[in-house]
Amino acid sequence: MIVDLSICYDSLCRIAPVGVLIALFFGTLRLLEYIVCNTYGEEPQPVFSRIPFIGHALSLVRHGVSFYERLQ
Amino acid sequence: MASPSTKDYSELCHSNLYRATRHPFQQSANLIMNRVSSGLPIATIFLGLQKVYIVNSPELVSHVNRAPKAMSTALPFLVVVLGKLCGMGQDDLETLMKNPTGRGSPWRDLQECIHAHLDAGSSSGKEITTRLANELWKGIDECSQREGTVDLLNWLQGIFVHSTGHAVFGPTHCLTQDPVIIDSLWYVFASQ
Repeated sequence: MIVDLSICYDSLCRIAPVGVLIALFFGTLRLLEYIVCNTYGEEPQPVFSRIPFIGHALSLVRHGVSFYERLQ
Repeated sequence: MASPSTKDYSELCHSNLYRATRHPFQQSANLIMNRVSSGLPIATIFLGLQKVYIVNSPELVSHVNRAPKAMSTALPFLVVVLGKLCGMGQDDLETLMKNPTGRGSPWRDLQECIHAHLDAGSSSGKEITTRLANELWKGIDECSQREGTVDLLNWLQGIFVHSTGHAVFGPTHCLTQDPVIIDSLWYVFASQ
């Protein structure tokens, strides 16, 4: 079956171009986070935030010290 | 996974700290414990690209604090805290944090100086003990003149921390600023 990718691309761009771009952006950031921010050997298990790279910092600012309790 | 007992904590911490001293070139924090295998409340988070280990147990925190030679204290956030809290300049901070675990470094010297002055038998230690005793005596005297009942445990916890703060930091110590700090301290002690 032959699929015209340009039609698919145009359809996507028409349906939700902004959403796709945002999803791609976050997906790329998440991928980068998994590659860059990883642990080795016997290090404690990493906890990833919803927002890549800056999520924990934002949570720390938002929740203060109770952020650490929320990690449990 | 079953929650580990206090004995498990202690044994695990000691064994890992022992390994940390045997392998000084490895990041000793890595060796403190493995959350997956041990079930201990420790996690790794990333603040930007900075890796931070969160130890969510007062007992484990005290074990970590007992390994100042193995643990690197040159953490970026510590530099920020010292800068904001003590008002230290950037040059001073860089000097203080230069090679913090090496013998003869300013940070190591500062730590040893603090330990020496608080050591049992030192003149400053005796001074602190005398002040502490005086403050406790004042507190008992003041309490004896009160009317009505006294919650003995709360009073004892408050007067003990207040007297210690007064003896170590002076009459305008931070513990007088906010009573919640005293409650938080006893919460930590009770958890150990």
